[in-house]
Amino acid sequence: MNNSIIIPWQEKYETGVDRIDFEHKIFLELLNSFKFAIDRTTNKHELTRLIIEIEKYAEFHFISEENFMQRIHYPELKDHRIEHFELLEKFNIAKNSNCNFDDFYSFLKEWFIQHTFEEDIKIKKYLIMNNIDITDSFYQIKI
Amino acid sequence: MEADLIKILIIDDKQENLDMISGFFDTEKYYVRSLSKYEDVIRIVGEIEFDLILLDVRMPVDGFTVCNQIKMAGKNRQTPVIFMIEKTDLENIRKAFNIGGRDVIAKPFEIEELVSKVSIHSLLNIHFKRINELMDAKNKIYSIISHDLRTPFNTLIGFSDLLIENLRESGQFENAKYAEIIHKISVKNLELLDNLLVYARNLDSESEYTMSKLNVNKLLTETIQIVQPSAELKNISLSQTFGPSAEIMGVHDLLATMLRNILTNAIKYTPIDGKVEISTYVSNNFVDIKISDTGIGMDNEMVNTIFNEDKSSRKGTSGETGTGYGLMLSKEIADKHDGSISVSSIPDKGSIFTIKLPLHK
Repeated sequence: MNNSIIIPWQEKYETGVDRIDFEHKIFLELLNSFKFAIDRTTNKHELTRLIIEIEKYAEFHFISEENFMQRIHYPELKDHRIEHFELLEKFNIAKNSNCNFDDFYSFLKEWFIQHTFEEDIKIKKYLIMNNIDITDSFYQIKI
Repeated sequence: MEADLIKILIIDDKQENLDMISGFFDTEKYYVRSLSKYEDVIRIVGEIEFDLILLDVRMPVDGFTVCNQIKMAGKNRQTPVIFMIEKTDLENIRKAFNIGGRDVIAKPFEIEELVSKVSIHSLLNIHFKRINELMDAKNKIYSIISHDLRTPFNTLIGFSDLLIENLRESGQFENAKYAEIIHKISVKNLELLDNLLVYARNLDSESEYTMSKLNVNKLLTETIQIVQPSAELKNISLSQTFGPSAEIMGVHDLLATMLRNILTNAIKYTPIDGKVEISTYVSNNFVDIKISDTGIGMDNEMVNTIFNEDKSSRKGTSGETGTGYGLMLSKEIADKHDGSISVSSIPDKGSIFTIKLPLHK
């Protein structure tokens, strides 16, 4: 049944920056937890709290990612920030426009895949093309 | 557009945002205008005064610029503006408060938060405007009272005085009595008007009165001159024992009103041929003004309530009436000058009022 399918982590999502990949993995885990909950319960209060959990994490992750971009002088930081703002704005509309939880999940899934795969992956290209070594500029999480 | 609807303007370049947000507001309570184009915003804010404006910051013409243009258009200069900004746009959230935004709604928001903030700030603004209107109306009434209503009393007092004299000279004592009644009531009502005006202005903004350096003995001499005629009518002697010249910081008109009230009272409650003594002396950092009379005095209960707002006035020894506001006002004036006013009294012997005011250093 389609319902139970979770989004697995894929190599193509990898940006090559451990810290960012790590945060993306958590984000994916949150999405999967949300889906897991939707299939298990219809408790509105519980599902709404999960949405807030994702929202707070997105907020944290965006600032985290922007801080990193600032550190490596990423030229597209400004546009990337706008992408983040746009996503938050869409999140806002989806969250507050009476859509059901399944639709909201689908929206988040698309958002995650599109943004990670198309936008965040550009960071990888930038690092490779400019031969930037991030070991000195960025503490690599080792978990 | 019904007058009692709360008028809000929502500005966002994205139509889907406008559609969603405007849907949160009950049309029975709110008149909602949603605009996405800069040109439309500038036109509408010149036409309608809103109670609140919800303004998105990230637009082709940025929200802060739009806000400035709105304020410059004049009609919505005082209208509170709430900015809508994405949660991670920390710089703009800070800026929104710094440039005088009333509040910020961070996206993604909770519907309840947005509706509640809009409701609170629009109602605050409506009440603020209402208070200002009432203040304006009140000030208009004051100026009517102090100019148009007050002036005729001087004519009434002057001519009734002349009439009393003429009637007495021609032996028409019965008619002179009627003229005396007119005279007395006119004097009393003018006194009431003056006291009410001073009281009302006293409650008003502090800036209406400016403090200046005043000589206490000089102020007393001025006031004694004003009440002299009413003392003479009852053949009451006003004796003055002034200590060394003392200077205080105060509002001339307020202090003159206070002294006049106390002196008028002393004369009012002292029988014919009585005595009123006015003395000053300087002690520590204060000047004491003592006004004692040989009047009818007061019992303890009366002494305890004499400065209260809700007590009524009693008639003077020659039937003089009062308003009951004089002493309450005097106490407020003394308090305003960081001073005090106290009274001791023995029934049928007299009363002593002591006013204490801090000396100017």
